[in-house]
Amino acid sequence: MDPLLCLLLLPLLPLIAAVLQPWGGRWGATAGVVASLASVSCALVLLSADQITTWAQPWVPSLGIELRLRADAFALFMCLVVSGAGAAVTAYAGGYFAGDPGRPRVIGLLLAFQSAMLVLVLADNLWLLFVCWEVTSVLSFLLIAHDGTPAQRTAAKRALLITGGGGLALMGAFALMMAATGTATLSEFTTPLHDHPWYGWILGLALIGCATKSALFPFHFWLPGAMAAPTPVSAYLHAATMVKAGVFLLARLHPALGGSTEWQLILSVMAAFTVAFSVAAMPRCDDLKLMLAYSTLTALGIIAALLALESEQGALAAVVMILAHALYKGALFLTVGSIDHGTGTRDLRRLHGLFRYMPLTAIAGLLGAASLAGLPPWSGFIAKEQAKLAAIGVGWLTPMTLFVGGIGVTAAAVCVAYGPWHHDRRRPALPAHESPWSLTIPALALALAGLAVGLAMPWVGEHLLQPAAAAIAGESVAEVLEPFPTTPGKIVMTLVVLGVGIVLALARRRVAGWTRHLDLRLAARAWDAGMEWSLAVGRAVTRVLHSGDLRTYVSVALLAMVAAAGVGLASSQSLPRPPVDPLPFTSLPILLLVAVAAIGAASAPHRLSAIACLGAVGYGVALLFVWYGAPDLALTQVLAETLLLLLLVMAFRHLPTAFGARRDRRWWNLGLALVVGASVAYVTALAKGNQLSESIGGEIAARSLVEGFGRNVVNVILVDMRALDTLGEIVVLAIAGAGVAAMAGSGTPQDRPLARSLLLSTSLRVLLPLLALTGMFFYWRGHNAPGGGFAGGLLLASGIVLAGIALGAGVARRLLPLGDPTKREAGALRLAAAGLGLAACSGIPGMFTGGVFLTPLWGEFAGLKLGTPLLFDLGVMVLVSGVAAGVVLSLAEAEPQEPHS
Amino acid sequence: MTALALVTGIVVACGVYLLLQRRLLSVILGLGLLATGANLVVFAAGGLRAVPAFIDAAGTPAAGHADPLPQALVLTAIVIGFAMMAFALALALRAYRHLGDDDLPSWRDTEPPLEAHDEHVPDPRPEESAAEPRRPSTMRLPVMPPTEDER
Repeated sequence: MDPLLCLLLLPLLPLIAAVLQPWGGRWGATAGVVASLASVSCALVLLSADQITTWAQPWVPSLGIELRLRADAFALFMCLVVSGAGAAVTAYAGGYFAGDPGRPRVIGLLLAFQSAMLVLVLADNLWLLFVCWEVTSVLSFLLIAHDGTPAQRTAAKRALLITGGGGLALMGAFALMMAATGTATLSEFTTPLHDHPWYGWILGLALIGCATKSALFPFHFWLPGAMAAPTPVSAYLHAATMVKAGVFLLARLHPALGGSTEWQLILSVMAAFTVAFSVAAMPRCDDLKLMLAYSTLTALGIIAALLALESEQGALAAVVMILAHALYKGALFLTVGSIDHGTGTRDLRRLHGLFRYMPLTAIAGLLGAASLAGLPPWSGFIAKEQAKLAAIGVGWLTPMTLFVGGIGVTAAAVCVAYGPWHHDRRRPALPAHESPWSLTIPALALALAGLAVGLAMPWVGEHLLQPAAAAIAGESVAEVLEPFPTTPGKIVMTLVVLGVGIVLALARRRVAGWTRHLDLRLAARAWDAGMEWSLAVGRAVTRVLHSGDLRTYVSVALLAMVAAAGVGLASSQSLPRPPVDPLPFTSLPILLLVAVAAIGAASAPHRLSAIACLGAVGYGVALLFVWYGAPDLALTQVLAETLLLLLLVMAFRHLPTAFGARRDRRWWNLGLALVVGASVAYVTALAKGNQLSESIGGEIAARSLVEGFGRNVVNVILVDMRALDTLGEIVVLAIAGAGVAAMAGSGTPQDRPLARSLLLSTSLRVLLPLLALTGMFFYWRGHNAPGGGFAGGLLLASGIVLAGIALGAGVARRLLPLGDPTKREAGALRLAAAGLGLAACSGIPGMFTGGVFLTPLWGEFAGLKLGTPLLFDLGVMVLVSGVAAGVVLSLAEAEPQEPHS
Repeated sequence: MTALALVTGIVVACGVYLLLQRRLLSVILGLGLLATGANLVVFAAGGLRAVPAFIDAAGTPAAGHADPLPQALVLTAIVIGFAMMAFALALALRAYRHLGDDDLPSWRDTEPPLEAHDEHVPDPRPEESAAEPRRPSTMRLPVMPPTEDER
């Protein structure tokens, strides 16, 4: 088979099986097993190929992110471990979760995890590796919390926070590495970075990332907690695969980061602490699964210690250890799951005499325990011997670590092998039954594989382990050892370790007593205290800021605004003085009017006078617009202000009449208002004299007629040059219109006039067509003279509103085109939607002439210059008329209804 | 220019003062004044000229015309300000109908009290209760109860 195809299928097959799980039914697990085994065979095909298969595809080229896979021997070795254990665990999960409605979910997540893990080990790009790293963290979170019990949720949160935080550190390390070398391709990191000034940071961050994932000291505490997860999940993630990702990355990064004293020292100290902690904790475990978790910590510490040696022997020993550990720990976890399932407990103090009830499970457990204890000819024995060989002549710390760890896991193995299977006459037999085939076979398969690998050792070593170790160490390595002790010294050593382990296991209670003053949960408690502290800080801040009182929110926002302006001003050398221009006497009356009206609105004792003052401000501003060369603005302002006043009056009918300031926080309000007003005035006065760049207004004006065929520059900007902005703004208008219709829409159509006036209703016959015509006229001349779609739309809307006042809102609605008499809101909203559609569609024709969306098209028709911007403006007018008329009529129809309390 | 900036400041100050009141009506009026004030800031920041930005018969922009760009920004802002006021009014009416009070501090009760989160139940330590839920030996797992209730 084509190696490239194999490389792509390898991670893809489990993913496909994962996606198919919801439809898999009872065949879901089978499909997962088949996919995993197919992945295994893909890895074997690649392993037998002569050269290293690579594949690359650009992903985000500008950031150096590439989909780049590289199947060297170490990656393929890890693939075999991941997919092989994956096949066993998937089969096991199929039986373990039988009857659980969440079974497709958990199997799908396990397979997705397998796929992510495969890409992680195959990745040759830092960022691809990082993405998979994070994906495994998230999937681990979802899998731990599968049943959603409180203990699982706590454990899942803790694991996610720690591994996610480690992921952030790793991202920092990767970014620094990429900045330091200019490449993100992992296989190109061949020269050590020790002399780089950032080396300390890179090393520290990378070690944090690896240590969190592999639960090395001081991040070891999440792994025992994660045992709250369902057992298949623990077997796969927290023994066989995910926790290996950290040590895998250590091995991958060592060409770039290794070779320094810091690397060796920090790593071996971390490893030593991890091993010491786990060995001290193991005797105190009565829970079989927890004991296995601590022995996993020991194994991870040993692997890290071996990698810290940076020798060929160390690499080889680490590889053998990874394989042996995945096989025996996977088998033991599955066994414990079966025991839990068969008896309902995992407590060593209660378990005994299970051999006769569950013989197959017992055989799997005993085979696994033998490998864990390091008995010949199991693979665990070879791992132990390789480690000893690597530790010759490397100081005292690593040999001590290996020795203590070896004794610890041997003791654990004796507990696991003896505890549940021995028969105790003094105690009543536990009710138990053998597990179904789907549970026993995977456990047996893993356990037997552990034995088979040991027996087939010279061959397996030559074809799998030595190439993998060579891929780490960068050179060919010595041969793997025989699965039997060859010298008397080795036999004695093995027996001594075994003997000490047995003694320790038998004296477990007493040993546990020795360490009773040791606080095993110190790190976990410190972490939890930190989390609770941060939550408490969050609550305290929330209590201050989130008071439920609008005034607090407004005050905070305004103070922040003033502070931002203050910081900006304080950072300039001298406080700039605004330019003082001669007082414009002619506009002074208008300015005075606006100022007085604004103060009036703020201090008015009655609501009608306040509304009147607000109107005066609006009309005064319109006059200012006229004065300062903005006729379009003036027109729009007058129309919008008029409709706004109507809106206010209609809405205020339904609100309490009491008005006027209540006298609390008066000075605070006044002070804050003055501070905000003063800073706005100051910044506004400075703005014109402190432009960062020349305004493009002149340029736009120069091009307006030539390119936009319009003499009214403001309108050309709105419908042509910045038409996309305008489109966004009319979308906002449409949303606001729909929102008002939805919120005010409890009333019924009313044909009752709001104001009964014969004069008004009679003159409407003339007024209404006149207003409609004027609106259209505004629109039509807008491109060359004051007017435009916004003003035209507002004028059309005011005609409708006038009809609503004189004849009733229901009558006015029937005047709207596109109306539907059975649906109250439909007319106005449909009008708005039609306008929006027209405006958006007017941008499409330009795309066929090679331009982007909203590129204008112009043509001459019978002497008239016509183009798509005119259609756009028409859409604006239709939309504005629909929204404006709709909101006023909605509020006019709102029932004057008493509050229900 | 400076005079207009001063008036802008006054409009904004009045808007803020109204926004900080307890009455619903005052807050909405304050919102309207603030919208007008914001339009004035943008308009004034572009510089003030008396001549509108139009192209005359000769095909050239009028001499010394005003900057059209801030004007275009303000034009849409005026209409959006109108729609925003309509939205705020509809929202206010709706809220008043439901809550029966236009005194804003009394609306504080509508948000869930923070104290509900404060009763901090310490999470069980997973080390101490590492047991996963019992899967009965028949392998018929009961559907887990809603987890929030367990707290």
